[in-house]
Amino acid sequence: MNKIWIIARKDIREAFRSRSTYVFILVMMFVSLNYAQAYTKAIDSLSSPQLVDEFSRRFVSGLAYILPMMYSIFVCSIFATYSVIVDKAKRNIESLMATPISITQLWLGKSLAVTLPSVLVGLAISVLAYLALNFAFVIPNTHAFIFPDLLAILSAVVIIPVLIFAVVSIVIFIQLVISNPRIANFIFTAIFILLVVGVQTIGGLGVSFAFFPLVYAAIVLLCTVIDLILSRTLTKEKVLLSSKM
Amino acid sequence: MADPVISLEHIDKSMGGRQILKDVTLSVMRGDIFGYLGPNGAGKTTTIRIILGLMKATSGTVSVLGKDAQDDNARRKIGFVLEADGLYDNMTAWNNLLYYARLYGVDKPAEKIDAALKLVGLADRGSDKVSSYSKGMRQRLALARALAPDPELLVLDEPTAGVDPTGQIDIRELMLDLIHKRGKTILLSSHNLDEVQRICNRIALIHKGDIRLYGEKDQLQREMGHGGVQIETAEPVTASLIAEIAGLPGFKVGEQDGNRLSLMNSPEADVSAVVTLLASRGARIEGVKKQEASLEEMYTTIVREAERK
Repeated sequence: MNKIWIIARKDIREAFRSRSTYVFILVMMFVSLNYAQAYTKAIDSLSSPQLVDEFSRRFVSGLAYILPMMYSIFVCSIFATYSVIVDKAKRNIESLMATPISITQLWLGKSLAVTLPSVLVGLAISVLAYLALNFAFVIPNTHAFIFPDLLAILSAVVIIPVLIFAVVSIVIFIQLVISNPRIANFIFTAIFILLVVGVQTIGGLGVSFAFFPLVYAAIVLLCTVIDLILSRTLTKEKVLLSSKM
Repeated sequence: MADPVISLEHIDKSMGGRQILKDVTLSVMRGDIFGYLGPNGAGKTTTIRIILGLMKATSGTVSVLGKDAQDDNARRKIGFVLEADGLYDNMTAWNNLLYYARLYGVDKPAEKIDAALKLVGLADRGSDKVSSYSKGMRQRLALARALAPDPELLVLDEPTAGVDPTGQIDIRELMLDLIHKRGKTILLSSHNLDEVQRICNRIALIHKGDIRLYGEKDQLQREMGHGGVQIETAEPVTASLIAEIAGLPGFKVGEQDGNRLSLMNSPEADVSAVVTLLASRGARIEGVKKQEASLEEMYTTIVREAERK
């Protein structure tokens, strides 16, 4: 565990040193305004205060299920461009693997280096966005602060981090074994699109957003199985041969 | 006899249908500075990667410090400098060393890092970012990184590449110091024949995946030498005297370069007969030197011979 953390800590520091990380975070916060716009547009069409109240509860508490996942995945796509990609491009990966670390420790360390900051930043932006939406738009209309469901909180602090780690591990695996590691980042984009489509579908069907943690848990299971299978095939030689030589 | 620190037995390595190493067998003994020579693409880097557990041999056995090379713990006692230095440009030299020292589980890393930086002459540049380093400084820093965990074995791939002549001398002296005063073992892969000639006690030459030459450097030089002597006289030896020498059993006259006369002799030829003949004809002998093949001669002979096949 110690060596995994040594690898992760160095990469996290490197990622936070880059200005582009902060630019992306600012862009993310700006994107949050979309939800505010969607919310105000929707309540403008509602006739009674009771409907506004009902819609606000459903909309805002629903966001508590979606935002942490959406932001974390988005931030992942930023942090995943450091770590393995940089190590392979600068040919540092060979020296790293020649130290007394196993390929699994390297894999987990690199995965943790992307997961930890992504989850923390994703969660922080979600909380800020949630508070801003409540104070700036919901309270003026409903005169009440809408708290997220307990299940949404549980999902944000337990299920989503585990899910992000499981997904990131797959991405990092692909980055390690293919010669163009940037391609692996498309997985984050695919998940992001799936999430947007999923939200719209659920919203359209009128299904409870509480359904999301179940979906997340199912994905965790699936990704864990994939990770376990992949772990048997990962070797230092594969990583080396896919690197710039 | 010293115990082997690296032992490769009948190593084959194939990649993409191409055989990179063919039945490679060699040992690096404790206390050796072992020169590993060969042209580009000969299989040196692949051998080093197998030793460092980065690649697996297709067949054969590899043991490093008594352990399987694939055992990650075996590398705790191996320091390395690879072709790509593996240093992080955005980090300071000190932090680069700290990162690697932690991965090695080095106890009291600060002390060891300071000592390693001092050893390679970078003590005053530890707080500088590596991006500000020249190629030569990077090589020295990579060497410091290899030394910080106090390894038993150093695997060095072209450690003086890009280093200025003074720096090369410093690194060579450091390598000798590591062997003689600190009891380390060094596997040195190099294209610099002069460097290998100066510091290595044992060598192996690989070409197209085959080990073509392997053993004690001095012995190989004797075996591959012309089997001759060089006689230095006060005045150039006359043509008639040269003809007399050529008539002695087992001798062939080689080049004459001013006062120096090279002779090739068979193992049973008596060199003292030449000396006696010269002395009896009034020639003043200033020196008799046994001629050995230089590493460069050995290298070019073997590589060219292999190319012709």
